[in-house]
Amino acid sequence: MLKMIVMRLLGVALVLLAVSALVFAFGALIPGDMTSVIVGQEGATQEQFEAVRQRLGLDKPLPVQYVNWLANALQGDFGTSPITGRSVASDLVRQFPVSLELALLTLLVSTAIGLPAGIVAAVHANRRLDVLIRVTLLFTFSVPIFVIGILLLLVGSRWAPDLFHVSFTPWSEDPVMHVRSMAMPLLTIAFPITAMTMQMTRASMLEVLHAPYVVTARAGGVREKRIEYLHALRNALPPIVTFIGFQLGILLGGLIVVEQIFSLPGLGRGMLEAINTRDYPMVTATTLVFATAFVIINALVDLLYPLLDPRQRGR
Amino acid sequence: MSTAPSAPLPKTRLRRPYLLDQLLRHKGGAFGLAIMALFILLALFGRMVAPYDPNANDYLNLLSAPSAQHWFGTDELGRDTLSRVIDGSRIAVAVAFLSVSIAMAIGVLIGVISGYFGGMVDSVLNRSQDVLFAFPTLLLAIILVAVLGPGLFNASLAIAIVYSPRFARIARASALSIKTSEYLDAARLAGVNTPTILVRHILPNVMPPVIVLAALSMSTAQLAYASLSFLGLGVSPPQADWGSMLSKGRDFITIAPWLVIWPTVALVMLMLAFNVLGDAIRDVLDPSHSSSKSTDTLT
Amino acid sequence: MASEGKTPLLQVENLKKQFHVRSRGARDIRLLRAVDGVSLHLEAGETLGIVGESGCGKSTLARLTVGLLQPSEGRVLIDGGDIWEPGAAGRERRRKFQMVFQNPSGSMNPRRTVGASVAEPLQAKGVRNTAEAVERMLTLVGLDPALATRKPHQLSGGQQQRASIARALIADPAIVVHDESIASLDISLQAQILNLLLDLQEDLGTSYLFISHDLAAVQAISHRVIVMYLGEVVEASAAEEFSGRPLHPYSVALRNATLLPDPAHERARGDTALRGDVPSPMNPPSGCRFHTRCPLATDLCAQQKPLLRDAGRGHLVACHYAEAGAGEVATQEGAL
Ligand SMILES: Nc1ncnc2c1ncn2[C@@H]1O[C@H](COP(=O)(O)OP(=O)(O)OP(=O)(O)O)[C@@H](O)[C@H]1O
Ligand code: SF4
Ligand SMILES: [Mg+2]
Repeated sequence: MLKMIVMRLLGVALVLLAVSALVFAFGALIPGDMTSVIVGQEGATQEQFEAVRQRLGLDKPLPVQYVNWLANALQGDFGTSPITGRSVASDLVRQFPVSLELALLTLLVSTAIGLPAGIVAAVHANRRLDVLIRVTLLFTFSVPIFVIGILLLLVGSRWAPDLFHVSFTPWSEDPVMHVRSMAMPLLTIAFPITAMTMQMTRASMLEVLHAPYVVTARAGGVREKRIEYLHALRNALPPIVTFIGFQLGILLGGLIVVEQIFSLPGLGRGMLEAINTRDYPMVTATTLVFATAFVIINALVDLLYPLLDPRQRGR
Repeated sequence: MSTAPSAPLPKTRLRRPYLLDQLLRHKGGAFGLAIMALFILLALFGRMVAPYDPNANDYLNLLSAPSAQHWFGTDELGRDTLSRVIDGSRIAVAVAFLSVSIAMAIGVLIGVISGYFGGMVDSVLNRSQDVLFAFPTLLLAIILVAVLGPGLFNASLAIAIVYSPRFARIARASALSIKTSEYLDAARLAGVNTPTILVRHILPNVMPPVIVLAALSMSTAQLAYASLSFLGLGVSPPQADWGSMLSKGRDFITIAPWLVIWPTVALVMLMLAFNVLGDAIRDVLDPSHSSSKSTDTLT
Repeated sequence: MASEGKTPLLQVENLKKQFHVRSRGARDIRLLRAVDGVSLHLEAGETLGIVGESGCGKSTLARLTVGLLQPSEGRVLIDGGDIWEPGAAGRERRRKFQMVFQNPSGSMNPRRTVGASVAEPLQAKGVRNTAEAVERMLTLVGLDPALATRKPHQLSGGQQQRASIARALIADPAIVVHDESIASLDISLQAQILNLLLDLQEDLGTSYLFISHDLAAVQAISHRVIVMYLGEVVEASAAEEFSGRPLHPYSVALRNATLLPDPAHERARGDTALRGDVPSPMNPPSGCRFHTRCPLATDLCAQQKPLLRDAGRGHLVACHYAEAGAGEVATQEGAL
């Protein structure tokens, strides 16, 4: 067991290394040179140009640049943005909590609503209400998140205009305004994720409800409701948890979109802005943060899985 | 897409006239084909039907509500929304076909090579795909567009790269099973050279499940592009494009809701058409799946 | 054992093939000796029959022989030249084989017409117009040439097998390996195909390596017979000699199994019937590999491996007590 965990962690470390190399390569491949961004296209002499290149280490071969970049990144130093003049790390520290808060709240809401809703749906499987709800849900997670955002804006701007004219306010400044400014983004992104959790819970529960031991318990006269809710849920849980890994990809992509729609100063918006301004250190840093989070959480889900699944525990 | 991440591999044969025939008989298939045909016609000949030049400004009619003159209203520059929605279908349809074709080509190439040759090649290709899977899909698409630069082809290429591992996996699995089949041994014994074996025996037998996946991926690809475009990473303005129209229209959502309503309607309609058609193609090529599915969905 | 003087058409020398397998649950990779030191030879126009129970390595031997598998050890020679010689020479030699596979429905590409599959070996040789040859070949194996435009799944099992034979023979191969090519057919069809093979051999002079677990079929078609057990040759002899005087207890048991319906033999079968399962080729028994199931086994058998030796008239056998076994058979036959 311990050996397995160590092997997994080693695997994760290798993937992360590869990811960092790829991210660095992306950064290096983005058209244009950072030097020209700093020095400005015109009016710079060749000497100035070279001096900047040397100062940034851009005259060294790419592998050396990569190792330097990685070593610095591991110490939390992502360089200085040539656009804003601030250290990239300080921007990340500012943006990260916004994205994290949104992500955690989404998971909280989607589980709190999606799980019970899925169970109820499974118990009432294929009745008319269930079908209606599922068609609606299928639709919500078929369309891109920005469409949901637009639709919510469209409806909301009629019925609750107050909610829309709030710009992001940090918790520390005004808790009430903060909650109000997070409400719409949360609603937007939680919508499809909740739908997925519910759909997955329903499918997983249905499978378990038709399993032999549940049928046996039912025949043995254990009270109907208790079987359905408790017995089944324990066994339905593992696939639901694995599914989180799948949701996560959508969640992280959704963060970028939602932050953009509602102008939240999170990592996603920071990344898009950096892409538009060709702010290389910022682009690579945010990409690295996103990918790392994705890989690590997926690995955690993987490790958690055997603990939840009684059949796997022995191994 | 919906819940089942691993559909069983379809095994049925594929003949083109037969496929079309079966699709027309399939009730979802005929419907999907009809809407698809409509969009393709709009994409090809839209500029002729469109009441206005999609990029012509009309400063006398800024943000005007839908009327007999402008059925879908106009935008902040007075451009006709109907004409722009029609013109945008060109991009949407083109991106869907282009990106799925590229993804299919890349995926099948990689999958067949790694399945057929196995060994080191297989490990290297598998590991590199694992690394691609280490990125959330939209993030990967965004960063690829950042690297490749904006534009229709580059966005399609980025989406294709993101989705190609799925094609590679399915192609690899089929290639693996075909590789050990007796007809392949027979071909080797006959002295058929490797390129011919790949083209004549492996490829045709790999294609049916790949085509099903392609059909199911069209809507995903179209939506992925819409997201990129919404984030400002699609074709450059002033070209009309649903994603960017929505992004712009968001600023006027309270005073000119038609600017977001119609592109959304178009987007969702195309998505539904692709979905229905994809499901129909899967049903036709893989009857085993449809029967198992009907027990669990809409009854 | 090769005939003196000239080199035979096909020579297989001490062929070995080990597979690395990871058994379920186990961590370590183990060696599975599928073929363990087989030697044989085949003359032009001759048929060599190979019998043995399921899993004894017949298919592996076949695939090694035709060059679909590379041997772990040993050589396969055509006219004295190694089929794995690098470059064109080796490739040219590997092309002298054709094979008819165990499973008729899987041996043709489901997406191509039967005619296209049959024509494939000719095409690969660079022949442009194959239609005529395909038609002639299909007629020869007793199929309607109109079937050439069909897909394999539109043919019956027997028709598929005939088409496979047509494909195997179309490019005039020196050697055709039949790996259980008739096992999946019903009895009347089996007889038909056997006769067809004999007729074709007479006309074309092809050599056959005829693999089967059906001793009767092997004896009917072969000039010589080889018996395999757990990857090894335990007996080799001319077919006539073998059917009159099987020497190895395993061969005797195999033969008695095929004579089952006769009540006299039913009685005689008593102590020669095969008991128990075939041991795993992953850890074959010590000494004589057959000793776990042999009615004549002694302590010597478990300790010392019997070598393949000549028991007279070119009849090779690997058993310490082969003559005793044969005596038993003789008395059984006397009792008839
Ligand atoms: N590719 C392989 N990898 C691992 N083991 C193999 C492989 N091919 C064959 N074997 C093993 O080698 C042994 C001999 O197999 P082979 O197919 O040659 O037997 P056979 O005599 O043809 O049996 P049958 O009459 O059932 O066809 C078997 O134990 C089989 O499991
Ligand atoms: S050597 Fe012994 S065990 Fe082996 S076949 Fe002969 S008698 Fe039987
Ligand atoms: Mg076999």
